[in-house]
Amino acid sequence: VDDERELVRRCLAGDAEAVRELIERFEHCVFGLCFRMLRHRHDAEDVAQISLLRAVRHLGGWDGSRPLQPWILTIAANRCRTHLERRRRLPRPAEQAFDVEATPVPKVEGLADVVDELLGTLREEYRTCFVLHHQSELGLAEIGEILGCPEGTVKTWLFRARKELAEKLRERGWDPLQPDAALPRHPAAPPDRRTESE
Amino acid sequence: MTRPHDAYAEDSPDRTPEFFGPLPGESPSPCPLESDDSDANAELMMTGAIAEWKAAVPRVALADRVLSQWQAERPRPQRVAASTRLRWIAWGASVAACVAVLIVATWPQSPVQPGGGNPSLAARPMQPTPSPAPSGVDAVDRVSPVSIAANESVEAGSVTTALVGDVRAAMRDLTSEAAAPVADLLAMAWSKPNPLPTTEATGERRGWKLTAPPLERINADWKPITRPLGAAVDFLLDRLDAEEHGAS
Repeated sequence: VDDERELVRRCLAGDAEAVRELIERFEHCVFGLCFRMLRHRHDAEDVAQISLLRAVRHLGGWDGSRPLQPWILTIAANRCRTHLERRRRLPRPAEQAFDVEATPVPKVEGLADVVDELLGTLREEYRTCFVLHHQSELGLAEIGEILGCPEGTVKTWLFRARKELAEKLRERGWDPLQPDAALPRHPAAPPDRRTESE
Repeated sequence: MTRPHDAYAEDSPDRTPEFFGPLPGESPSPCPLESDDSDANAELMMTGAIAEWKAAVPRVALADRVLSQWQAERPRPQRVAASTRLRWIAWGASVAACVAVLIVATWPQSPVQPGGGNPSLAARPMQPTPSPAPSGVDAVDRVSPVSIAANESVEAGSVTTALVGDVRAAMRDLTSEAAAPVADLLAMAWSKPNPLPTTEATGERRGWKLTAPPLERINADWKPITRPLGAAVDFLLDRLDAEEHGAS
């Protein structure tokens, strides 16, 4: 925290190198959060850029007694939610009626893509909790602060997200004993119940 | 630094090990759940799936873009400050000029300077102004004869001169003849005690002394003080009339 405090002090003093160091330190986690929440690379880059810029602009409002990463991720999560809300309200022309949820994953290559695709089928609250907890490594209390709900609610949403995701993966026929096996995106065959029968 | 997962593991006594299993980065338990194979599979599934999913985030370089945007925004406050400063200076100069014009326009008529000057302020003859006379009865004698004479010659003429003389004579007589009775009267009125005895109040204001006497008793026992004052005023008016008739 002392290191972060010193870095922020230099940023507030107008040191461009300090600002660059701050951005490079947090850009990956911020972009990861945006990428997983928006499921669109270009949108994620834009929102991550805006979030980082906002964080740099308002560094004076950061509480120096708390870690910096959750504070920046809170800004990014709020920007993502705003972007998702705006995207939901945008009218989609018929000729451009693309599936935003499926756009960033044009083809399934591995388990990560399947998980990402299945995450898109979850409720937004479940997905947000899952991404904030597993991708950004935020605690339940911090997620609760971001989403404005109690910690118990976050815990419940996270539990249900993992449960639904596991069930969908199982329906896809993913074998945990052979994790490297490629998965079909839309399996025609019924889910593989081999593990259950064993 | 405590990772959120550690905090989560600590503050979650009711955490569901049947499903959650090990947190990301932890090795799965060798025997995570003995009673339910499907949950054990789900645990294994999620452990590997989340780890792979988490590692699949592409890397981006946003530093240059954010930094350039930040630097493009940053000089703006300095420019704004400079322009604001210039604006304040311009406003201050214009306000000062307006104040100066107002002062010049409302300045009292000043004497003409030897080397010339504003023609509107020049060409006014100087008039002798009487010095402020002290007030009171004795002030009549202290008025400077020079200033009175100057006043008489410049402003009012013979009428004013006669009036001033009359007033001065009347005031002298008043101080010598009428001031003493008036002073005696005032001293008697202030020093005389209340002739009415204090009476106990009755009725609602019990216990309080009645200090205000009835009106008829005031008229009966107290001498009216207007009589000597009226005599003094009559005397003054008579003297004024006599001076006027004598002058005419």
